Amino acid sequence: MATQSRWSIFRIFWNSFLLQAKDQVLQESFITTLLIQPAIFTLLSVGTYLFGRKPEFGLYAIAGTGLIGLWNNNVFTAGQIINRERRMGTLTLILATPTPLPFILLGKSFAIALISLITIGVTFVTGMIAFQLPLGIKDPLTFLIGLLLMVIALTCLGLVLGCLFVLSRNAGEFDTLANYPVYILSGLTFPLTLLPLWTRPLSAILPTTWGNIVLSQAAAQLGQSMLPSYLWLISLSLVYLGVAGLLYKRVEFLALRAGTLEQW
Amino acid sequence: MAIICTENLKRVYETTTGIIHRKSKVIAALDGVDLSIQAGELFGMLGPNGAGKTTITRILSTVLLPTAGIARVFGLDVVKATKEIRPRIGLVFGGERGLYWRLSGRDNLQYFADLYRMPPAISKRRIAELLETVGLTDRANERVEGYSRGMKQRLHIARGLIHDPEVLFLDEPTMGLDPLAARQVRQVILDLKARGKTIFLTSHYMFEIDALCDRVAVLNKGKVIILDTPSALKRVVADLEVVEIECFGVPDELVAKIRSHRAVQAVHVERLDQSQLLQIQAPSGTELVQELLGMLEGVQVRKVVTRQPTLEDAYIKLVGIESREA
Repeated sequence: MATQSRWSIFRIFWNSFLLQAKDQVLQESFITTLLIQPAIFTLLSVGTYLFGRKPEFGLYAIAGTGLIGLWNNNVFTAGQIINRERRMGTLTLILATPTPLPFILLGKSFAIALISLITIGVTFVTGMIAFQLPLGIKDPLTFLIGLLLMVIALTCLGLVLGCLFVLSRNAGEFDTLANYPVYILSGLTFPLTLLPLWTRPLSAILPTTWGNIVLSQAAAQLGQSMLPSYLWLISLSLVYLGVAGLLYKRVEFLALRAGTLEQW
Repeated sequence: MAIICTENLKRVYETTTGIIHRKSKVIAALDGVDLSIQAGELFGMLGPNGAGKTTITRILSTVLLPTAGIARVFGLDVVKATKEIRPRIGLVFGGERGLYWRLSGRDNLQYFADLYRMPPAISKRRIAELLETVGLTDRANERVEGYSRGMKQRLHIARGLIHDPEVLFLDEPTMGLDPLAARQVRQVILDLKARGKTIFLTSHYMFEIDALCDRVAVLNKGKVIILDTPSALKRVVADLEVVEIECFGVPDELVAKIRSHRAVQAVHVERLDQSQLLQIQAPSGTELVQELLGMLEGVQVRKVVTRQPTLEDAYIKLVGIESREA
């Protein structure tokens, strides 16, 4: 029975993953947000460093731009999952099933985080083609572990956002508000050392900060230990999971009380 | 024991207007509803828009909390026992929303089968059976966005039945369907009833309730104004006759004048494509037609018919009386 239950949870995760992946790939915004926008960002960001005669920052700029795309797409789409369900009229129906919504959201959020990885590829390829930067990944294993941990952390963060969006359709404003402070606080646009010390705790709770350190250093093989960054990413994932778990019961109660599941 | 019961069930919604000077308004969607529905019963709920039909369906299917009162399904509290109730009930809404349009009909059913934790071998067989029942086998692998409205509605019903629920909540399942598609959906409902399912059906269509339901409650402004069998409801208007006058451009003042006539019990105006249909209820043998035509002098009249009252007329009388008393 327990095996059956675990299997059915895996099936829910997998089918929710597939559903979201199909839906996202078929959306009109797919090409804009995952291909065109990251390429433009790369041209602007890397170009700024190169024309400012700081070619050593080229790799850093590419990793940062890739993560901007990853964050952008992940937060935007994760936030929109619930609103799309609301618009399609399926939110009430999936909530009326015996499956807790977080299991459904987990699969969808993982699909979004995984698909968002396309932006990393786009930024590296754009950097190579447009600026002839030597972009061979020096430490591929560290790079891949970093990407994997980023995907897990963003999946868990997507779960928190998804839970919040059950509460109100206006939660969509969050992704607009969150973008630029996150780019700056994570060191995606310029190095963290340029920021005042008091911003460090804020930077530390963002997965993009640690992802940026791992990816840019793995690409350039600077030889530093990545263990602290890995541990931060793992810890943040666990914290996000815990927050989502605590949040969900309360959020479901508030949404059922307010009767907002079908308002869009 | 009643399979569904409510006691003094209430639900209010609070809406706000304005940004700086916010004003909130409380609307009572349900105002003390008592119901008791037996296992295997096909129970209908009639009412005008905003009467509270959808609200009560949502509460009973555990996706909306009541403000006060008690609602039980299988003897379990819908607020506290959602985990136990949800696997045993099915929920179907009218309209085109509620499906994943970019997935095929079969994939939609498979996804919901998984959400109901059905083992794959059973769900595969069940999906094939349901597609056959609702007549979608041939189109099952096409994306839902290419389906007609009737096909989507039939898929909705299949989705609501995927886990073989004991109780089915159908919220206006034939809304907006063409007559043929609506008849197919009604046949599916009758088949479910024959298989012993308990069905809670809300509808705008009186003939649908008349043809399908064992008992019917008329809901108006959040209150049940009558609860009985369709034939007993029709007795409310047994001593009346209905004069139907189809005319063009009848002004509201004239309708009000007809309504205030001493013999007239209720007037309903139905807007047709280019004309209006006045349905006037009066005691049998009143000989009202000539008098009415006199009142409508100057208005182009197309057709006049006198007929026996139907359940729809009972509904018009009940809801009309309730509205005037309020």
